[in-house]
Amino acid sequence: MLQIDDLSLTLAGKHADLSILRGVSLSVGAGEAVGLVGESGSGKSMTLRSILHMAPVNATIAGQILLDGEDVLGLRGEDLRRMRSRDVSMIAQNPHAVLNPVLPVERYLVEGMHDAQGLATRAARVRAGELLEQVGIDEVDRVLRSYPHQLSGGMLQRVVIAGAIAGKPRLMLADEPTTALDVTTQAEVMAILDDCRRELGMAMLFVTHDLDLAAAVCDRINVMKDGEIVETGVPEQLRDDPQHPYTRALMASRPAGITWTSTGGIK
Amino acid sequence: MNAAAEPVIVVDSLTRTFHTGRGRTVTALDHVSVTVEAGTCLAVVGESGSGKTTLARIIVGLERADGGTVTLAGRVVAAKARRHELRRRAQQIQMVFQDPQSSLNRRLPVSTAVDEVLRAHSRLGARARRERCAALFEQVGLEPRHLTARPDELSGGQRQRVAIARALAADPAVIVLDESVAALDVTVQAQILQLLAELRAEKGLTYLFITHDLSVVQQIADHVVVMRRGVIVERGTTEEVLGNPQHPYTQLLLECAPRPGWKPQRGMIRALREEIAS
Amino acid sequence: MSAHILPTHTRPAGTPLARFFVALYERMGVLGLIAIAIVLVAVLGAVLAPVIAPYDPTVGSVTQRYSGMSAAHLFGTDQAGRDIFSRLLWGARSSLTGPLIVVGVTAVFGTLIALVSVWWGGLVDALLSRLLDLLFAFPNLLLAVLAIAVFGPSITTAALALSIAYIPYTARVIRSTALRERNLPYVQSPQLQGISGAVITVRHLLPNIAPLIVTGATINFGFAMIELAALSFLGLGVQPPAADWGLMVSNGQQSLLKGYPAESLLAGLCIVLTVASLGYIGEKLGGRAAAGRKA
Repeated sequence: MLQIDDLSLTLAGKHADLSILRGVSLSVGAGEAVGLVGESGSGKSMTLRSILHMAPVNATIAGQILLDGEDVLGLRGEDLRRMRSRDVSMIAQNPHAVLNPVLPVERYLVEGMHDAQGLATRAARVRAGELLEQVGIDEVDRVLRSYPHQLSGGMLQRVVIAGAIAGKPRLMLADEPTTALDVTTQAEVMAILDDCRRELGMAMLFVTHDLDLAAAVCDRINVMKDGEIVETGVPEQLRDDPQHPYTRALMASRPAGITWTSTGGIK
Repeated sequence: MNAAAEPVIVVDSLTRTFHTGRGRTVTALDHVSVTVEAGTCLAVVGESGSGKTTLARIIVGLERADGGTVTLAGRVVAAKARRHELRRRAQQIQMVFQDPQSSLNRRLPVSTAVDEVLRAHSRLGARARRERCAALFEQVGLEPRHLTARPDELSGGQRQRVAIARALAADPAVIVLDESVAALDVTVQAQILQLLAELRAEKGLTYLFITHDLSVVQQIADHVVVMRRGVIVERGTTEEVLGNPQHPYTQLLLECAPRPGWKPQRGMIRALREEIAS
Repeated sequence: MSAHILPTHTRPAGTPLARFFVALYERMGVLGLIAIAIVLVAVLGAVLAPVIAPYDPTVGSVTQRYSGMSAAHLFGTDQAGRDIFSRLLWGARSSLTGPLIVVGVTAVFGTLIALVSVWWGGLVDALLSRLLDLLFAFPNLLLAVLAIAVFGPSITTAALALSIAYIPYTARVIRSTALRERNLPYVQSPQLQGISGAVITVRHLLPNIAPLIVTGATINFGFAMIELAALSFLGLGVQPPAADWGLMVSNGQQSLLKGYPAESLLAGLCIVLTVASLGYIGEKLGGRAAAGRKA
């Protein structure tokens, strides 16, 4: 459903232009989870931002992005708004930057559903509660009434996920959604994100620096380096038989012979 | 490691409470005791709010403790560090900070950071210090041309190497590493950890490594202390703790660490959380 | 970010001077260059007033009152028959030195207070902060008027009084930035070596907050100029018959009513242009300082 063809992105600089993306091609099928893994500066986030027209103003973009056959880069005005609000949702790294700090969480969710999907406010309120339950929040009422600063990063990211699945978009874009979280929170949020995505049959493009994390939730993984995709494959193949030297380096930098497998000490 | 090894750091019953305003307090450290033997690496593992960074900052003298003592090489250090006391402490213990971005003065060539430490702790002349600087840079895998570079001309990994050179300049017995590889890409992480391991073998250094990352623990530590909310919940050798974790919180940390073939299990996480709570 | 650099255009060649102007242009833009030019003209006018001013600014001739623009009197004369062009040139002196005193005194003491309070923290910080709060409570001009009432009207008194009024603003802005920098590892690491606070402050803190100080000073210069002009306008700053832009605006009032607007308008224009130019330069420098902090 998402098809990126030969995407190039250049940032105009004062003395020289910076080539950020160089012929990136990838695809995401309906209901498929695809990982985009790379280190800082690899261009993985910029690829994702290009889809939503969120590249910097001094960027020149070439190539094609198709969403169900529709040319995304050519969308303007109302069409762009529709794509952003109906077809695609985004989860960013820092949930604190996503939610308005002076409004309670409920407003964030209700506003999204009311404005973007035209749901009546009353119906949106009820739906907001259901969504929070869906993302594994127990004290729904308390969270709805809370302001962002009263909630932990993990809790807020669940709220953002709730907002992202509210309109049942076909494609979810996740940009390092758990990088700012503690490991235990990361695992929980990742599990929730994965469950929600599967239940709703949404496709996902998941950007991360963590190959193991991508492998846990993705059907296919693209490894990116210096603005190019150097290898694509299913997680097991990348793990057992990496082709590109960079993928091998990535695999080697985390010790493979980790002594723990499963904790087992659980009753 | 060495059975007859002497403890270089003895932390006894350290306590620290922070006031967060409106009469609320947070106990960052609640009677924490830790011993690090010479030539070993102790990893202090925990999530944000565990108190691990506060522990490191008290040991080096950036933060004061409310109670308890820190003994470095057999000498109890003052609770509130004065300047001459800090200087003496710095010759035994140095710190490498987390963020390579802000670790160096961006307006000065990076070698001045090393030179400054040499000037503070040695009586070397300008020429001897320059030679020492160059030697230290070589030791941490940097080239002579990097001596005059500004921080923004170096990569994160290179800046962290400079920070390590700065720590080595005082010729300390102990280096406290506060999440020193957390801000780096994994491939760079591996290189820095490799460098740290080599330096330790070469100079018989002792490390106190503050980290949230079990993979880092596994790569470098001999002993592990697991902290949660200001309390040590488990301690032991790296093999013991990672291979056969006893406390449910340690089990949770292990369960949640991404690794090849891993899937996050909501049910298991929930079960462990309940066990911790009880 | 590690990205690939495509050499699309190279550094300009040419003489060092040409390169300097190109660099200046890239940094400041067209408006910035115009602003710099305006400030330079004002400064040159002030410095060279004795050389280029065609007449004595304080001596007029009754027969020459309100003469219009002519070859003899470029901008005409005022109600006392004094050459307006000459008065503008001489007036630039006090109009620029006054704010310069304000900005200098403010920057030095504001920075000093900020750094001392950030470095010592605790009680010292609390005491200094309260002191600044106390100064905050007084309106700038009121403080100046009070000082003038005590020490008599002069440009120095007015400038010093205004400096005291400005210090709290400057100190506070610098303090908040210095406080953030003070807790960064590049400052804490030398502290751990037992290096003295004074050395760390001068070697590490000061250079890293310097852009902020410079920006603040440029913007304060504009404010100070306007407020000093207001004081001169009220008769509390520069004393007649000396030339000063603020004084000229006030002197020209009567002439304005009589249909001779040249004096007030031209002096006012000088003030507005200089203030706006400095404000713009300050803003550009500020943007650069902010960028420098991010890098």
